[in-house]
Order: sequence, then C-alpha cells, then structure tokens
Amino acid sequence: MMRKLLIITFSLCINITSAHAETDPWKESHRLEQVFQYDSAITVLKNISSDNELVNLRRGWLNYLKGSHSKSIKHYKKAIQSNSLSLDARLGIILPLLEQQRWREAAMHSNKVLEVAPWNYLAHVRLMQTEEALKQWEKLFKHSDAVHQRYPSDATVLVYIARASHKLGNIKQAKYFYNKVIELIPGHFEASSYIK
Amino acid sequence: MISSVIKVLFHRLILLSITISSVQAVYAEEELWQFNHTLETNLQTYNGAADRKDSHSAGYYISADYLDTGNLAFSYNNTSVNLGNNSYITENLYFLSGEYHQYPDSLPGKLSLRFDSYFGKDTLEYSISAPPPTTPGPGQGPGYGKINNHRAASDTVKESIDINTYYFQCAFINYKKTFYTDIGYAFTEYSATSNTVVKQITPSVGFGWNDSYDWIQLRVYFIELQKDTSAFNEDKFESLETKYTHWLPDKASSKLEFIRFTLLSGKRVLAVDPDTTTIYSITDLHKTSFSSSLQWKTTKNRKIQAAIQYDQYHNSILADNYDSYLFYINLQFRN
Repeated sequence: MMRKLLIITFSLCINITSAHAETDPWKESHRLEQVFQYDSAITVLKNISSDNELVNLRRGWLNYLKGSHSKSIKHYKKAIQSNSLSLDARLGIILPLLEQQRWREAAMHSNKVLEVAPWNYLAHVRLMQTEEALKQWEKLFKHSDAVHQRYPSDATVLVYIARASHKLGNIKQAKYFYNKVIELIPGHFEASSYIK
Repeated sequence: MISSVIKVLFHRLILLSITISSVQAVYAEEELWQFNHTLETNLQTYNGAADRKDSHSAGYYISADYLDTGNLAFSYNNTSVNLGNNSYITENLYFLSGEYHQYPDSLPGKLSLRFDSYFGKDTLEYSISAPPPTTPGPGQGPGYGKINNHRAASDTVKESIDINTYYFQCAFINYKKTFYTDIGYAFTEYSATSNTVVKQITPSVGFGWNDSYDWIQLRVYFIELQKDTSAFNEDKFESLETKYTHWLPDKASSKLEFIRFTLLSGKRVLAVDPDTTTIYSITDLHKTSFSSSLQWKTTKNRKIQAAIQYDQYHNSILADNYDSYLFYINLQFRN
C-alpha cells in the first residue's frame, strides 16, 4: 500500500513539473523562437501584462524577426515608455526602423544610446548605416574613423571608412582601407571586388 | 535676351535670400524637424499670343519634415503677366500642405496621406481706354471679376478673382524604390461674377530600374470643368504627363544630381500639378508641353535646379494658337 502511494505521489510530481515547464510562457516562447515559430512565440506571452517592460522587449524582438516591423516598433516604444533609461529598448527599436528606412528616427535612437554609452558598438554601427543611407559621406568618414580607433580589428567599421572614402573621391584611401579589411577577412567579397 | 533673363532671375533670388535668412537662423538648432527652403523664380515669354507678352514669377517654399513621420509645407508665389497695352495680371498665391507617412506591416512600403490647400487672388489691371483684347489670364472667363472690380485710378480698372484649391492625395512607394503610385483629387473654385469649379482626378504610377537610378512616372489628368458660361465647347479634358528622371551616382567628382525630361500630351486646362505644387490658372487650353531640368548639388546642404520648358496653348475665345518658353531656376538649402 505504501509502495503504491509512493508511486502515485512520484508520478504526480513528474506531471506537475512537466506541466509547469510546458506552461512557462518565457521558456516556451524562447523554444518556439529557436524553431522559427515567431507567431506562436508571441502568442504564448499573451497572458502577461502588456505593461511589462520585458514582455514588450520580447514582443518587439519577435515581431522584428517575424517581419512585422510596425508592431515591433510599437512594442519597443512601450518598453521605452516604461523605462526611458533602457538601452536594450533603444538598440532594439533601431532594427525595425532601419528595415522601414526611417533613417532619421533610427539615427535619433542611436544618438540617444551614445549619449549615455559613448562607445557602444551596436549604436555606432547602426548610426553608420543611417549616415550611409542619408549620403552623409563626410560625417560617415569622420565617424567610422573614430570608431575604428576604438575597434581596430572590426572589419565592418573599416568597410564604412572605405565606402565613405570612395564617395568622397579618395580612391587611394578607399583601397587602403579595403586592403585592411582583406587582412582581417581574406576573401571579403566587397573589398576584394574593389581592389581588383 | 538671355543676359536680361539671368539678371531678372538672380535679382529676385537675392531679394528673397535676404528675407528668409532670419527664418533659417531661428530653426537651425532643431533636431526633430528638418527644414528645407526653396527660392524659385521663372520667366516666360509668349510667341504669337494676341493677349499676352511675357510673365515672371518668384516664390519661396519651406518644408519642415518631422523625423520620418510627416511634413508641413508653406509657400508664397507672386506672378505678374504682361498683357500689353499697360495691362497686367498679378497673382498672389499661398500654399499650405500637410503629409503623414504610415508604414503598415501589410504593405512592402510607405503609405503617405497628403492634404494641400492653395488660396490666393488674381488681379487684372488695365487702362479703360485701352483694354486687353480679351479678359485673359488666370481663372479668366467672360464674367471675369465684375463683382470685385474697382477703379484704381482715373483711367485704370482693377478686377479680381479669388482662387481656392483643395487637394487630397494617397501615395505609396515600396522600400526597394522600384514602384510608386498615387491617386489625387483636386477641387478648385475660381470665384468672381460667375464661378468656375474644376474637379480633377490625377492617378500616377512610377517605375524605377537600374538600382533606381532611372525612373519613369506617368500621370494622367482627368479634369472636369463646371462653369456658368464656358469658354470651351467641352467640359472634360484628359492628358498624360510622362516624366523620365536619370539620377547620377553620388560621386565627389560630379555635382550633377539628376537630369529630367517631361512631356505632356493631350488637353489640359486649369490643372493642379501635385508634383510641382503648381496651379495652371490660365484658362487657355494647354496642348503640349516639353521640359528639361537639371539639378546640381553645390554643397552638402545646397542645391540648384534649372529648367527650360516649351508649351503650346490654344485660346478658344480668340481662336489663337500660341506657344511659350519658360526659364526656371531655384535654390534649395537645408538646415
């Protein structure tokens, strides 16, 4: 009798634990993201308050992955409203803004991040994207050169310096920086094509 | 001829530059708003026209973009038409516009809703002893200005017409910048003794290729005229405007930004051109138009655009066919 009771209790515990694992919305949402089921990953969060900062960040990210950029922006904005100091939210909102070619808004959020985190790599690179799109070549050159001093082994920043140099008519300088890109990433397509 | 044209154009531009320099200083520090200013002027000469010699115009346009969300615009334009015999038409036209951009997830591009309004007045001034051959000019017609007329001097008569135009447009451009379309509706009223109401529907479609360095845009004008006494035998007019633009790659060695050719064919009268925010308030039938324009980027924030345009018109009252050449230049600067 005692043995039977123990078995029932043990199996009940297992069931409760597995049921809890299945219904943990965060865990489930991350699992679904890994298998590219973004809609479902968003849906499992539906019972969490929409005022929750973290859930807004998560919904912003998942909607960005899903390609629903306006929804993504809406959720990131909510996250910024609930915590205006959040760099996560600022860096997050830039991604869908870039997708929608809202360059000035993306630049504004990048600059907001850089106000408090002056050498944040992501903010700089995303700001460079806006400068390139807005054809601000002089600004891009100076900016990317300054970031290169801080991240000398980063090829992406070097590519921006090379592109800006080319647009400013300094072909020799563009080749110099593309060569540096090739040193870091041999066979880099853009750099190799330019040097040829 | 050309030197006098250039002299007039630059004289007007310098005067307008002085006027707005203070406006620029006020707004220079704002980040959320980006201000674009345009000073423009043109000179038009008419060949073979019985009732007009030449005209000149100058204007100032300011557009304020709020991030990537929308923009507000205002402009003022003054036009003077020399009819000969000391007769003139003066047009003062104001323009107000608001545009709001939407980025719906259901569409692969940007949707823009725009509302424009134009309001102003045309004033015809002539000597009572030597009136113009007809009562021509912007918004003209047999009932021109009889209500608002008054004697300005002993032998000078002034007559005027009020112009009010409302234009609504819904536009879409895809993110790849290879497809553009819009549809617009314009309602214009010319108010004097007899009112003229002009309704216009203008759908447009544009395609870009060669990485969007080449663009072609087709705009159709469907215009319906409702007039107490019509100067035309017809009240519906259709025309097609074809615009080709070639953008040049952004290079330090070249300041030229684009070259554009525009061809208008068909019949157009009292049209509202939403692309250039122009009201063609002359009632003569606009038959053909061809223009070519170039734009240069002189500095990081300054541009110059110049254009030359050839037009053919028909005045149905005088059974008069005539043509004209228009020289246009503008200066654009951003802060």
